Amino acid sequence: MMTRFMASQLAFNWRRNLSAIGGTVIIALCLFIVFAGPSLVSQNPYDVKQLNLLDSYLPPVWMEGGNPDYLLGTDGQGRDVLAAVIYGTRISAFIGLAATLLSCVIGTFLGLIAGYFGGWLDALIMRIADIQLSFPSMLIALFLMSAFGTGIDKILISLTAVGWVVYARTVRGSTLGERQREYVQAARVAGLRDAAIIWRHILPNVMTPLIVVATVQVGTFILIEASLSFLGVGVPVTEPSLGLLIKNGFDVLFSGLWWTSVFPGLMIMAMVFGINLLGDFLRDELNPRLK
Amino acid sequence: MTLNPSMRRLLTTAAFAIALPFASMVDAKDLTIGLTSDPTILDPQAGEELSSNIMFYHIYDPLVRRDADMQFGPGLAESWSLKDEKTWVFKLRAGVKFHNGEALKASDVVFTIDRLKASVMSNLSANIAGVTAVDDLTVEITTPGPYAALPNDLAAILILNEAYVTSVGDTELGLKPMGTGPYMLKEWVKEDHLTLEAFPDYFAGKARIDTVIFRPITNPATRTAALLTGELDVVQDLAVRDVDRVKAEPGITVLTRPSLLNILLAMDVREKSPTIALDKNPMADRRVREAIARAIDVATIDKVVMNGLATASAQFVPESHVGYVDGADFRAMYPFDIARAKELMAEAGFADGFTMTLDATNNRYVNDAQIAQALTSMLAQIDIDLQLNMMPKSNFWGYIRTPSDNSSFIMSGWDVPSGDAGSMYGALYYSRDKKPGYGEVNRTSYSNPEVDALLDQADSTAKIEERDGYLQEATKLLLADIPMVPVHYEQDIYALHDGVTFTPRTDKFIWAYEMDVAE
Amino acid sequence: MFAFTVRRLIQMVVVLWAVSVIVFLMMTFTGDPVFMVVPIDATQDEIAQARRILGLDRPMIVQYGIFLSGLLQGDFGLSYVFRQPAFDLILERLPATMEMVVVAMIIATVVAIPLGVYAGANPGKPLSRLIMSGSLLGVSLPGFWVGMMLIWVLAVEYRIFPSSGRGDVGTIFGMQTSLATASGWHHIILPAFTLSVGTLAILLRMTRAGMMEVTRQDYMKFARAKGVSRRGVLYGHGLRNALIPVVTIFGLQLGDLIAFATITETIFAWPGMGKLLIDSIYRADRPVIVVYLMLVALIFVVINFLIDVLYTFIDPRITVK
Repeated sequence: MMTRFMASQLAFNWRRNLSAIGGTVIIALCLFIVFAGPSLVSQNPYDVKQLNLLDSYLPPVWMEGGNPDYLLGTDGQGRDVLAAVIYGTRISAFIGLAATLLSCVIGTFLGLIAGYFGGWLDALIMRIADIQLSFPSMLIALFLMSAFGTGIDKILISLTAVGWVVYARTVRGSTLGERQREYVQAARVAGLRDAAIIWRHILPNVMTPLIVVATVQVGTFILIEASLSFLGVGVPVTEPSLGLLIKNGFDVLFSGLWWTSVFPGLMIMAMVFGINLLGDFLRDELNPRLK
Repeated sequence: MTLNPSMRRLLTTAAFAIALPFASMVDAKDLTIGLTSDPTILDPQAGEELSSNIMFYHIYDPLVRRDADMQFGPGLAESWSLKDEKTWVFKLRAGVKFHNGEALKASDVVFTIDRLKASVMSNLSANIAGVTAVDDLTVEITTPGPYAALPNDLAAILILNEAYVTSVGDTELGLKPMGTGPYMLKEWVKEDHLTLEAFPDYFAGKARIDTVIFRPITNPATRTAALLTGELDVVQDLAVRDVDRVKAEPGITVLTRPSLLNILLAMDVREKSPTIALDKNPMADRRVREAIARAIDVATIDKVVMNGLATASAQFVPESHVGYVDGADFRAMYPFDIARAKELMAEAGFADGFTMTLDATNNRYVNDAQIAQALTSMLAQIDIDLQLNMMPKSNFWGYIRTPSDNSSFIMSGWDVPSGDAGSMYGALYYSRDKKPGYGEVNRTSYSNPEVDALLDQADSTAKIEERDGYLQEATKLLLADIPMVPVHYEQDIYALHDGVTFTPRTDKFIWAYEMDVAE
Repeated sequence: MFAFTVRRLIQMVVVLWAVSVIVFLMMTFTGDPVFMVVPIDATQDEIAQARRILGLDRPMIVQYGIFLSGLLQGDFGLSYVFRQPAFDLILERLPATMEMVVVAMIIATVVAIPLGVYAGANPGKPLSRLIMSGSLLGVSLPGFWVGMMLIWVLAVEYRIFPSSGRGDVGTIFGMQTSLATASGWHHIILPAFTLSVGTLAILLRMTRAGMMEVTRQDYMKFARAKGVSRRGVLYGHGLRNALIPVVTIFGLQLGDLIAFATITETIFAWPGMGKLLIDSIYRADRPVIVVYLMLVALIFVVINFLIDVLYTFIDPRITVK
């Protein structure tokens, strides 16, 4: 019942908040690109057979030497920059969302059992969390990827290894609080198994703050993946994400071939900005201290 | 010792006042050279990457000198002769001094080679069995078998001073080198600059350029920018993209020279390939190998990927090398011809093509990643679905290490600074596990008893003409069998300001001693 | 207080030890360094010899033992690539990284705090909204991309700043630093600014949030009623309390700065330890990677400790547990 009230209050405030709407619109556009993007461009930049080497480093269509087949120009392999940005966005967005989901699930699980069962389990999990929190996530991810090698699956593992902590701590704190409440005591007395109590009663009540965390984390992960790929320890070369496209563009940027790095960068910026706009709004709404 | 600014100013003014009369007599010449990376270490037996190598030849000397065109002549040794098939006698020049004033002695040569054998660069002395000092200026070197190319190998061994190295220790030697070479190390600020000063008592005469400053600038565009602003007089490895722009600048010349580095595609000829999911390895069939060779359009790679700055390879080694067959050209034997390539594939029973993986680096050779990607689209024309497995060089060498269960189709480069095809053939084409020291890098698992026999014969004569004969026969067999496709030689691209006299060397080692600067 | 300190110190040691184990284990997964050092056509014997020289031929547990005992004596072994003590290599480059981090921190603090105070105290004003949008943008930008764009526009196209490298080095208080020369400052502005963007945005937002919370408090109104000027109230009373959360994340931000310095140094060819780390990862130069991670772990652990201690002084409400 509380959540339903919040939802309607939330929706009401959302309608009146320009930046929140803006953020949602941007995210919607990005999702559109992710799902419908490939059908908008004729070239699949990951399919080497479709590339024409002779078309490499063409400038955008509005500049001299531009070609209307390649609206935003081409890169060193003849890849259409527009297509590359679209496909790259898909990879970046996928990694951001998937890693967030994994972190959320694993972190929440660990937080729940830490908070509910307490004791040495709680101490162990929180100890690890504390140690990890004292290091910047970027560095831990960098280190893990340098050991694992490139690959999307490895990126997901590294990001999850870094991202679970914040969920675990938040959930654990809330779980500790909920555990004392009467309805939990009642359920125990009634003989309900621990797992059922956790899943059906505690979890729904601790989920609200996670929404904010998750939203912002998608953006954070997109940026971390871009940085890792830029350093060469992220996605493999054959299926570039936006970060890798920027890296490829870096080598030729100072020779005047700017379009290969500017457009992917603008895309990342737009995506993360939109996510943060919405995340900001959600945080303001769901933060009890500011009420 | 660091001086505070005002003290420094005072001393500088004083120095000026004193030096002025002398300065007006002789204008010190200096030169600033931009390199692709900082040298890692100044001990010639601790590593062999390019920038360090360049420093080695300024600070040290070898017994035999390799000139800009891969001709070998006297260095610290003024002459040599064969005592018997396996023994060489080298006569050292008299009066050669190390930077610290000590004289060069035969015992220094013995010390150098003994230390080399125990170091990570021991393969440089692989063809030296023993070394003795006969007297202060005579050294005797024995080889395990008759080996006509020993002088060539010695051009890569730089002579250290025994007393200095033993007193200073290995770690310090890497920072404070001392040799007989034309330059001494003045200052090394890591990743910023390395300054060399001419050694006044150099045996062949003091260098024309008094001070040489090397600046490592890894980003190619930044390097170009520094050239254009005049911060650099000479630039090594000018970015392919920048060539046209720099050529158009007045006062700057662009020089190119085909490098020794030949890009090769190694094709696995084993019965079963680890990366091809068929019962039989298609590349074991010579026709498939020829089809692959004919499907690769080297001219287009040169034009589009390399910006015209590559030289198509005619054979496995360049013209200047022992073992080159005059007139034979891989590109003439197997020209780019998709139709013929498809025919060959069909004849071999692979009209539908197959899938395989290409292992390549993405940060070692010029545009290596782009070349690999170009190959993918080219081989797709004959229905070979090429999966790219690209990795940084730090993982690459271990990954493809023979015998390999991971790799079947490999792109890598090979250069032969000794000017002799024998070492390359011995490493790459000799049957594996047959003779120690041979076939160590036989990535294709190629095994041809005739080639092995020819290489054995080449290695059992001390006469260079005989060796050349045998190696040429081997080249002909290899060109016919196609265990590897030679693609192209990279070009070494340099740019210099007017007033600098510089002839690029085939081995890519910039040597300030043979350069000059206008006043 | 004493018990607290001791307990934290023990904790620090445990953390460092755990890091050493993890770092060592991870290192065994990276590329085999032997092949980076020996020439391609080295024979099996030559490779084995190289392994012996590099100390790679012993069993894992022995290697760890050697590693640990070396650690405790400050000996991290020789870099595979440079054949110099890895510790010296990193230490040589520490000043350069610290310069950039310190200047970035200064830029971030000097810009963020006043803007954050203004935005927090006047939340409705259009300037505040602009500031907040700007800060949100700052958090959304990929740092390396910002650096690239800055170099391209300000260094390559308009030649206002140098495009890479560190300037001349001078001496201040006996320390060698490029901040002592004009050329040094000229070179450090772009990289430090690039590095500061993320932290600037975060500090700004935290200051504003803290400010907003604090302005609602009663004691602020009482001070105003008492006659203290608006600015006096804001900076004197409000800021101190608003800064508590800022101080918390200061330590974390410092850590983040050091981490992101790796990328910034790579883009600007700044000869710091971050660039050395990235280069060493490419070359599988394990000893250097290990030194970097251990040193950075030590820095973080010490920073966190100091922040915790600082906390007890800033906020008397927080007592030492």
